[in-house]
Amino acid sequence: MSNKISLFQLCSLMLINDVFVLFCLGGGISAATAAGFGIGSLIQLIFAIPLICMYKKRGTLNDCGKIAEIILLAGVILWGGLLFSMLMEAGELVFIPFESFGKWGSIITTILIAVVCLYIASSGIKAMARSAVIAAALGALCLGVVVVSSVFRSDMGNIKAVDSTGFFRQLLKGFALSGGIAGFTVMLGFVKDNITRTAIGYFASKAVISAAVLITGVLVCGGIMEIIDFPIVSAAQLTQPFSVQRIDSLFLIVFTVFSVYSIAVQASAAEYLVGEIFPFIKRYRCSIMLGVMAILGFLSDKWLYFGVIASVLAVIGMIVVPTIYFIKRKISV
Amino acid sequence: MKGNDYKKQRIYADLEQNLNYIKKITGHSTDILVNEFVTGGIKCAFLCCDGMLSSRAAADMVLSPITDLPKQANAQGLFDYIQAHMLLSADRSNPDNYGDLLRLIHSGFAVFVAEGANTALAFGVQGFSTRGVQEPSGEGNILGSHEGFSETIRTNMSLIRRRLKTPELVTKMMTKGSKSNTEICLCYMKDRVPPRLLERIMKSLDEIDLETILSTGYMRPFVEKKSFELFSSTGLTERPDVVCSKLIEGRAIILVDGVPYGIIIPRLLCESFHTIDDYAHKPFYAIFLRWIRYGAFILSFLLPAVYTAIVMYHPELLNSTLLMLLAAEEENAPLSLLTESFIVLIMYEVIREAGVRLPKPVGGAVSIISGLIIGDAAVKSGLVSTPLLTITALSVLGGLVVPDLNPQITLLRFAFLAAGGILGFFGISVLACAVLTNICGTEDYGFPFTAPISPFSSKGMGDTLFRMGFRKMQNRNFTVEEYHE
Repeated sequence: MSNKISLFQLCSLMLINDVFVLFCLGGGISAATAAGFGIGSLIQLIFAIPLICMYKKRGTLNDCGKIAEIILLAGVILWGGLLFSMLMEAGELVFIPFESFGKWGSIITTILIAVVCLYIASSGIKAMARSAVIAAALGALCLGVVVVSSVFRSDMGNIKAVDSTGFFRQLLKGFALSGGIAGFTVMLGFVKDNITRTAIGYFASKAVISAAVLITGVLVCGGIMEIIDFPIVSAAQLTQPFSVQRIDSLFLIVFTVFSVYSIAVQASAAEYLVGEIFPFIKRYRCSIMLGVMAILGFLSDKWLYFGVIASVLAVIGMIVVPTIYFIKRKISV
Repeated sequence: MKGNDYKKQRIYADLEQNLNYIKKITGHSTDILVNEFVTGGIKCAFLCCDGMLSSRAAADMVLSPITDLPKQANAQGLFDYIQAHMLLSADRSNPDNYGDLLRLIHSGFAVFVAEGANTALAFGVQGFSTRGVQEPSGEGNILGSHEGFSETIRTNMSLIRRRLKTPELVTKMMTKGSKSNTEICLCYMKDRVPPRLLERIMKSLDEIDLETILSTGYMRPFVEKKSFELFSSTGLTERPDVVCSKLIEGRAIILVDGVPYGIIIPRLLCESFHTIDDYAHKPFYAIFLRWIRYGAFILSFLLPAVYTAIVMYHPELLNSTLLMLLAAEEENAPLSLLTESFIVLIMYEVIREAGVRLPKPVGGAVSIISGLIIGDAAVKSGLVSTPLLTITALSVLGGLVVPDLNPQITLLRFAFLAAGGILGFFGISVLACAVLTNICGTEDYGFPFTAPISPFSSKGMGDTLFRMGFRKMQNRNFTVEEYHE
C-alpha cells in the first residue's frame, strides 16, 4: 500500500485538528480573535510557499537534513502534548464520565485516548486519512446544526472588535493555536494531488471554518464571555435546536472524535519523523511518541505559552525545511 | 504406500501390476470397481468409482461401443483407434501417472487401462447425485431470478455461462487440496478485469497448500490481507445473477466444488447494502430501500449502546415524557441497565444459535418458547424492562436487514454496548474511531473497502447512496478499477 493521500484527506485531517483547538479555546473571544485566525491563516500560507515549491520539486524532508526534522519533531511533540492538555481541561466540561474522578479520571481518559490514537496511527496514514474524511463529514454535520441553531440564540450586539484583554493578546492567541502546521509540513509530503491546490484549499478552509465557529461563539456567548471558560463549548451548550430536550451530548461525540484524530495525526507525523531521524528505532516509535505527548499534556498547565513555543517551532520548521533543501540543491548544482 | 509418492509414478504397462498397484494405493477400497475384459484382442480393465458416475451413461456411451472393437495389434493401436474413431464423451483425458488417474476416477470418470499401455483413457460420465438448482436460502429477492448455486461446480459454471454468453467470460479450472483434490474455478471477464488483480489473485492461489478445501472459508484467508480486518474484503454470494453483475464490473469470482457460494474479489462495503431487487424497482423506491438498509445497519449495532448510554449518562437527550416513562420502567428492574442489556443480548444469541442448529421443526418450537414464553415471562416478572426488550428486538431486526454483515454486527453490538455502558457517549465515540479506522484500512489488491465513500468518488455515488436509472447507467462503463489506489 503506497502511503499517498488526497487533497481532501489531508484537509480533513488538518481541519479536524484546527476545529478541535477551537473547541478547547479558553478565555474570552471576540471578532478580533476571528480576524487573528484569518490573518494567521494567510500568513501561514505565505510562509508555506517555499515548502510548496520544495514538494513540487519532489523534495522530501529527508533531503533537508536532521536539524530541520528535529525542529519539526519538537514542534509536533509539543503540539501533541498541548492537545492532550486541552483535552483534559475541556473534557470535564463536556462530561466525560471518568473526568469527575479528578486526576485519576484524567489519567484514565488520557490512556484511553492514547490507546485509540496508537491504533489509528499504527493502521497507516491511508486508513487514518480515509476515516478522518468520514469523521470530518459527520463533525461538519453536527457543527452545521449548532451554527443553524445559533441563529435563533444570537445577539448581534455581542460582536465586539476587541475584548478587555486587548487586540495583541487575541492575535497572539490566534498564533498560539497554529502549532498544527508542523504536522501539516510533514503530511504535505504524502499528498498525491496538486500540492499548491492542497495548501491553498487547506488554509482557505481553515480561515473560513475558524471564522464561522468563532463568530458563532461570539454571537451566542458574547454577553457572558467574562464568566465562561470555553466559549465554543458553551456556545454549543446554549444553542439547543429543540425546546424540550438538550443535545449537548452530541457535541461530546464530535469533541471526542476530533480529539482522537487530532492527536493521532500528531502521533503519526512524530512517528514518521522519528523513523527519519533515528532509523535504528524500528519498533514502538508511535507508542513512545504518544507516551511523551501524554506526559507533556499532564505537565503543561500554561497552555498559551506552551502553544506559542510549539507554534514558533512549527513556523521555524516550515521555513527551515525548504531553506535547507534549496541551499543543498544550489550547492550540489 | 507413504504420503503422495504414487502421484508422479508413471502407469505400469503390465496390466496385472498396474491393477495391483491401484488396489494397493486405494487400500482395496470397496468403492473402486475394477472390471477386466478383452476388446480388440487386447486385455483391458474398466475402472470407476461406485456412485460417482452415471451407470446408464457409462453403459450406453462407453461400455457398449468399446467392447465391440475390431482386432488391434497392440494397446497403443487400440487407444489410437478409440481416440480417432469414437467420440465417447466430450470430456476426455489421457492420464499417464497415478495421481491424475486416481483423481479422474474419484471425480466420476470411466477409466480404461490396457495390457502394454503406460497411459489410460478417461471419459467423463459423471452421474453422482446432487442437490440441483434451488432458490438461494440466504439472499432472498422478489423480482429477480430464483436460481441459486448448487454444490456442483460445473452446474454453477453453467448458471453463469447461461447469463453471459460472451467469449470474454473466461473460466479457469484448477485443483487445490492435496487430499481433497477440490476443483476450483476462477472466473473473470478478460476485457474488464484489471490484469494486475488477476495476476495477484493467481499468486495468492498458488500459496494454498491445504490438504482439504471443504468450504469457501478455507480459501478466503489466502485471498485477503494478512492483517486484522474486522470486515471481509472478499464477498460471498449464492446468486449467479449477482456473480454476473460483479464480473461485468471487472471483478474475479472463485467457485469451489462442493460449495454453493462464489467468492467475489474484491468486495466493497457498500455492496452489502445492495440487492438484486434494487435494480428491478423504480430508482426512487430503490433509493428509499437502500437508505432503510443503511439506517438499519447503524441501528443494529449502536441502538442498545446508545440507549444504555443515554439512560445511564446523558438523560438530558430525552424529552421529559420519555424520560419519566423510562425511569418508571427501569425503577423496578433488579439489575443494572448494562447487565440487563448484556443478559438480553446473550439470551438472543443463545436462542438464535439454537434455532439455527436444531432441526427445522424443533427450531420453530424454539422460536415460540423463546419469543412468547421467555420474553413475556421475563418482562412480567420484572427481570427485564419492556423498553430494553424493544430496543434489543429493533437492533436484532436491523442486523437481519444486512445478513452479509451479521457476524460483525453481533460482535460490534456487544463491544459498543460495553463502551456505552461504561463510558457513555465518550466510550462509543472512542470505539467508533477505532472501528472506523479498521474499516477504512481494509484493502485488498489496492481496492479500498470503503470506496466510493472514502476515498470519495462522485461517479460511484450513482450506485451507492443513490441508484441511478438504467438509461444513465448504460453509458457509465463502470469497472472496479476506477476505485484502485
